[in-house]
Amino acid sequence: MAEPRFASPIPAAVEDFGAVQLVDESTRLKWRIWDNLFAVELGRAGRFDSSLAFSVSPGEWIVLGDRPDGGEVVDITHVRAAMRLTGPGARALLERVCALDLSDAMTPDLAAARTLVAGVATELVRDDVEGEPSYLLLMSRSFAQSVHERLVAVAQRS
Amino acid sequence: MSARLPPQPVEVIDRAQPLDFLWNGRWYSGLAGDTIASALAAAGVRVFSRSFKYHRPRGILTAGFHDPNLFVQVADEPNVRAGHRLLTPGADVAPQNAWPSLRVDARSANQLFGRFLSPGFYYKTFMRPRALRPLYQQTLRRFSSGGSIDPHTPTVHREKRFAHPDVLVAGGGPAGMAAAITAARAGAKVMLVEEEHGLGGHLVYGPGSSALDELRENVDAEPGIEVLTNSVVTGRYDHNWVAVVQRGATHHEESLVKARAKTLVVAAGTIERPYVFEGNDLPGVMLSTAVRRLINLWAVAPGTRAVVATANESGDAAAADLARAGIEIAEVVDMRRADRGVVRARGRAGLQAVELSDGRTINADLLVTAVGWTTPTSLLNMAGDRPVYEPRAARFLPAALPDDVMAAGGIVGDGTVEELVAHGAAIGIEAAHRARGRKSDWQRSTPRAVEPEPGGFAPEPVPHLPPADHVELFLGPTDGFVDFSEDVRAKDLESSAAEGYDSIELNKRYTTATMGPIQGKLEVVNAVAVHARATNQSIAEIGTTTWRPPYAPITLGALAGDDEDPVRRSPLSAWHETHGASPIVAGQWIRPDHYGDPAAEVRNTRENVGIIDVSPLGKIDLRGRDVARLLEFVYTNRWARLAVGRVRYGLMCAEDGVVLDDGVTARLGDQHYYMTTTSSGAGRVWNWLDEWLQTRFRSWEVRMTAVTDGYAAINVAGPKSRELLGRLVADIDLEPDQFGYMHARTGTVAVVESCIVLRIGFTGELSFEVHVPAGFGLHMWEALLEAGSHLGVAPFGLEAQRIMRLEKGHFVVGQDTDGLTRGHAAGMGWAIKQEKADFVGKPELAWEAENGPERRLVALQTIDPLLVPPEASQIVQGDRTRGRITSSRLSPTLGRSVCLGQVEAELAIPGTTVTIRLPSGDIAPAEVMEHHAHFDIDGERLRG
Repeated sequence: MAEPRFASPIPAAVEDFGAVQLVDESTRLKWRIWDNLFAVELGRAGRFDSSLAFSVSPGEWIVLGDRPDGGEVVDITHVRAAMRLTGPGARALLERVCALDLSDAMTPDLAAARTLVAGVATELVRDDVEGEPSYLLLMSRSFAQSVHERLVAVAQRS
Repeated sequence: MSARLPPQPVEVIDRAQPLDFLWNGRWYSGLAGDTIASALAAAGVRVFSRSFKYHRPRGILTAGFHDPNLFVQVADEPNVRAGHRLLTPGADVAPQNAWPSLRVDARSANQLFGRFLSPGFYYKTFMRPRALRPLYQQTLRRFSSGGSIDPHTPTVHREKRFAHPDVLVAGGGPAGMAAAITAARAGAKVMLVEEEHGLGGHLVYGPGSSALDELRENVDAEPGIEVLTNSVVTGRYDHNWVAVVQRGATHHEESLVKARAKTLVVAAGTIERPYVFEGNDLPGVMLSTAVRRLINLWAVAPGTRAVVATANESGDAAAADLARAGIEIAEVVDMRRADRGVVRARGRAGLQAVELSDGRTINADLLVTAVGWTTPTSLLNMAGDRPVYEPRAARFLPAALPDDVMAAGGIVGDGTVEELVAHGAAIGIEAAHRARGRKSDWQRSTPRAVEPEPGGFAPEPVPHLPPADHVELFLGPTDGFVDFSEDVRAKDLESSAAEGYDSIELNKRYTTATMGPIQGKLEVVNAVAVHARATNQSIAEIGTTTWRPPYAPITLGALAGDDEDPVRRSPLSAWHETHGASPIVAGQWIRPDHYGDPAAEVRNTRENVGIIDVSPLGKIDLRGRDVARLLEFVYTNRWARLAVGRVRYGLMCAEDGVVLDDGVTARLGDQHYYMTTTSSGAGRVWNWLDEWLQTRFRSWEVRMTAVTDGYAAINVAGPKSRELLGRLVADIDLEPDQFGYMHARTGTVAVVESCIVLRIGFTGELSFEVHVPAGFGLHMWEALLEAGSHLGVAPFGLEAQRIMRLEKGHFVVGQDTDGLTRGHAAGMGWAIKQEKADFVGKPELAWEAENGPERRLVALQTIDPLLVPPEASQIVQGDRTRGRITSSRLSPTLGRSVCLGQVEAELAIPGTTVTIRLPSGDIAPAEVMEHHAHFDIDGERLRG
């Protein structure tokens, strides 16, 4: 029997629109925990070695990266799809489909929120990459293709 | 005959760039910078439309955005504002509301009967006889206004976006621009919205002014100002949620900007008001601002011989403009004098003469009126303000505004350009100051935001901007139109007040005054004035009518935008699409209904083995000490002693005992359960559990994770399912004595670890439901097909599953049950354990058990075996409805029709023959069966 291949719900690994890049990060391991193992406050995210931890609801954390040690851990790698919008045009693109105030004052680097993106419940984490604005979006896997198609359509028209 | 004047000092047209366009099927020529209306007026066109009710000829009134007479059709776009829309080359412009033609409108005969067309005429006349209503509707539709829509119109791109300006300024006149500049300089992020195509407000048609140039330069120089021209603020909602319709920006035709403004500055200026007298709607009767715009912006002579009735500076300036343009002024009527006035305007297709109060009649083709101003306070009203009438100024003024809304400039008072700019500038600083405070509050109360920066600045006092005195002029001595959009005359408002509609809010609704596309901008104060006169009240006592969004009509396209409802896809959807699945939308999910022949899929599953994608099943991972207590509480049956490795069917009822959802739950570990719900009920069940945990059982230790999307679920069903699965499992023993019916195992399937396998059966066959981590779902599906190729494995869709479950008599929540179906009525008494201490719905279900359900869900078989009564067919007795068919299919297994239905309790006795009334009206007898299951009643196949 062949080794199982992880199939992402997102149809393209990378879409480049110049001012913004849309990258599939669904393969990253994702975990849900109920203990503040990373000392991250509600609404914030933190970077730890190869992991990113954030909290968007009281008493719960989501961790991307290696399996956290300690407490109850639920693997949500397959529950959530993840995509990343990076580039100077990322914010304008998101503002087409997301009502959140994404200004630096309200949504700085390492801010985290649960919101709607293209009508789909999404965990949004601002996780800048080398000083470039970057937004990590996590949503239920079944909606991911729909969200991705919408983002691509909006980006192509902008 | 061309009415184009020689070059004017501030004209906005480009004489080097002629543009040809079609009007009413004929070619005309205009200039770049023209509006459709100015180009037509320059070409000598006087009649632009026919009025709404009487089909009277109508011409230019305001020459701007709010002109009620200038709605035209441009190609396939109806209701275009010709006074505002810029001319484009080749534009195909046609009049609306004119039939058969603009010149001869057959329906203008309406005005001969005008005195019978009293308010409410249509309601009163076309109600009886009832049978004729469709005919009335069809005929009256031809008489209705508005353009026409071609259903095959190519889609125009419209979009939505969100914005979070600190200060949103509605109105780009001198005060609005000044407010935007000072707010931006104070550090605010500003959105400046102007309905015209350029900034400047009334300054654009005045003599060239350095103030205007300076303001425009300063706006351009501020990076913190986003300017939206050709855009309208259509509404202000709670918490300064402000809707802006923006037209003609790059990449899209029209967009809806949803702005959450920290401070809204309304700098909407004033709108000139028409005067009410007989003939006030004749083409050639215009407002002074219309005349000034036509001459100065587009170099169009509005007429050849003018009477100017003026009560203010605007009328005086219009007279001066006319004189400068060389247009003969036959008379200037100083309306400020009580002894001077206009009695009526005469003419047929246009103005021919004006009768004055001194008895003279003066021949003229242009009558300019300047009798006062309306303050467009809509956005202030939407913010809760109740503007107050100031008789000295003859207009309404803002009264009490909430902290996050401010008013600047002409809407507040009058002054020189410098005074308006100074007012706007001070308001801008104050607006930025308040926005800063609000932003700091939001930053402090939003966990993800950064701490607000300390410091700030002190606002300056806002200078007083009092309104200028103005004589009160609303109604002349004769009857004329108050509402040009809706064809409402003063006497209509008076007669409706006499009929008893003696509140302005009732009168407006009965006559529809202020309810047309201009939304009261021109007519509201005159309507209030008429109503005041008719009811012996003052205008101040009556106040304005309530202004609601939208400020200006908004296209359905702008509201719709490019939103699309998101859809959900299973991890296997790509495979289904490439393998001939016929898709069906189930809730938000796109699912395979069948792969060509559902009956064959049923037969194959019953004879060999079939696989179905049931990934949309709701799945909830439950962990913690108190999960069993939660299950005991939300399910009607027992859960306390469910062993690890076992699965149980559970029924959930609401507090009223009505069936909420059902599904199976497996105990995977000591404190670890895996709940499945119906596909459509997943969200509802999640909310249900969460609500109980967050309210009544806050101390319980239960950690829920919605994992619906985390697992692809594949049901492997059929007599050969064990054999098939056996080829793929390594660490799970599938033998019946090791893995019995209603058991669960976790392990490796097709090399994929952490799979959950449930031995359950909705189809009635031996079946294993494999829940595999979603990313490996496709791998699992293909592995099953490959491993089972010699066993005759084939996929089956939703339809085959529906047939098989109906053969087995399993109900579907929401299909066979409804909002009144309690547990016992659904035949689920065996799963309701009243002896439990407590569970949701217990008292209601006890009551139901005691009294017996009013209706019961039963299996039915038609006497004619091949007759399949459509779902929702009624079960009748005489002329009474006594039940309905809830599910029906032709069973490929039994070769006959099988049904589930709800019937009244006394018909639910097995062996009873009931009568089904088919949609055709035919009658079909059917027998009530003893068991819900039509097939394999004892479940031997399932347990095999």
